[in-house]
Amino acid sequence: MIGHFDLYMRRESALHRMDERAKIIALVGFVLAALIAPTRPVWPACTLFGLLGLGLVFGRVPPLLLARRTLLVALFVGLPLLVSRWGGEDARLAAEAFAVKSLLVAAAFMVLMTTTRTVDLLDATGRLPLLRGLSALAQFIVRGVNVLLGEVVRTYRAWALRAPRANLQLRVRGLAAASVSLVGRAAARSDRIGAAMVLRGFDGSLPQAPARSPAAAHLAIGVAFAMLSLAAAGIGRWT
Amino acid sequence: MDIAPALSVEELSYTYPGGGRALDQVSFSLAAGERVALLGANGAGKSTLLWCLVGVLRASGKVVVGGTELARGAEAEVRRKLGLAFSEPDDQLFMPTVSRDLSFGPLAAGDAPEESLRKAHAAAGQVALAEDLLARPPHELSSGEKRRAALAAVLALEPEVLALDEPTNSLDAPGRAALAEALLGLPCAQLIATHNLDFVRRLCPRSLVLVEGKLVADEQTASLLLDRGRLADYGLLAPEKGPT
Ligand SMILES: Nc1ncnc2c1ncn2[C@@H]1O[C@H](COP(=O)(O)OP(=O)(O)O)[C@@H](O)[C@H]1O
Ligand SMILES: [Mg+2]
Repeated sequence: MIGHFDLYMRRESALHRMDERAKIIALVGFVLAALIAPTRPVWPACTLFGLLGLGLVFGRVPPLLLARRTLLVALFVGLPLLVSRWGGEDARLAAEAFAVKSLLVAAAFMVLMTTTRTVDLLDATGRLPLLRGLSALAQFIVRGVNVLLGEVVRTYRAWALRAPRANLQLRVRGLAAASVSLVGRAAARSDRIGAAMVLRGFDGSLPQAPARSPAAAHLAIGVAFAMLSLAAAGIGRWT
Repeated sequence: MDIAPALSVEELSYTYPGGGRALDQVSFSLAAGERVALLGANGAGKSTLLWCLVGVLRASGKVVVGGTELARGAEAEVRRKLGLAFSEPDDQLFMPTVSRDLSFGPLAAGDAPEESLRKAHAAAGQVALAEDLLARPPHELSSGEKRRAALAAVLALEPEVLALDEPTNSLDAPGRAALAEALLGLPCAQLIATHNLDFVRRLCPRSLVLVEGKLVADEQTASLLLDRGRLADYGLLAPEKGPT
């Protein structure tokens, strides 16, 4: 399917099947641990990388895919590392800690996004108190962005197919022209989608779908993962 | 003893702001459970008529669905009784997953979550939408699957009258046959807007024909389809070229 925005990769794996709420708990614990973990001695950070590896294995996430997706972060952390070579020992250690923590956090998020559909993720966050309205809104936005993105890609393809030999300048102009007509199309489309909602009884409040309760085993695994990460980081830091 | 019609339309007229007259004094009615074709060339006014039936476009004239007259304050009730399947399924599916979309109508109408889910599954079954598609986001469906999902979303509200706008668009031959099969199995009255004569041949015993916003025919489909001259006049067949 063209133009859609989701990092999810459909696969048959233990991590894919795991309850989203348990995965969120595990992630939150892991991120906290990554933030407090020291980089000297090295064993706490290594433990966290090991735990991340477990996520890769049980989620059947291809390491290359993960590497590509965290590349952006690598660029971000590479620069401070490079610059810190000319600084003192302190600067080098700080840059190194920053790099390790960012990589851990980014990779953990990517593992979650790769093994969990955005819809389910938003749904699970929506069941946490306070976040409910926000998540309903986010779900509409995700669907809206997908519809729009599809429209952008279709418009641009239609344009590009009729101008196969266009150079970069023409392409940019085509994209600009396409986005202008896109505004009109998006307006007409949202008009009709609005009609669809009203016709099916939408009155401004979003009905909530029934909740499943998370399996105890999943929750236990999520909590155990979080505790293990935190223990490694905590012991490394405070002993 | 006269049985109340499922849908009755009297002298419906509509003019687009800044456009020409799209509907001109259209009157007809549908009996409960009756299946009727709404034929017309591109631009004849079929879609406009359907939008007017649910009050999205405000036309002059009278529309009564299952005893409820379309008027200010009664739109919600009319819309619960008359379900409209759009010509473009992408416009109709707005929730993040198909099953959420199908249960949206019942939930919004106040059904309990379990009941809405049951209605969603029942509706999916009526259009032979595979169960494993229900968990997917709409943009991961093929056009034919989207078409059926959008139809199921309307059916989940259990309408008395079903209005379909160009339902055969983007369906291949097996897809059209499956849709025809599904429509034959539904108990509700149906108004099927299309220019596809083959599709209505076995589905709709009766046909209405619109030409430039006017209702020019309301008769048996079988006799209409035999009259090739008239079909050509109505813009439903390519004009026949005689040997020169
Ligand atoms: N939004 C609009 N504004 C102005 N005119 C319109 C609009 N939509 C449709 N029309 C015109 O109304 C007439 C009927 O259109 P429509 O009901 O869409 O036809 P059909 O569905 O039979 O193909 C056409 O002449 C069309 O150009
Ligand atoms: Mg139309």
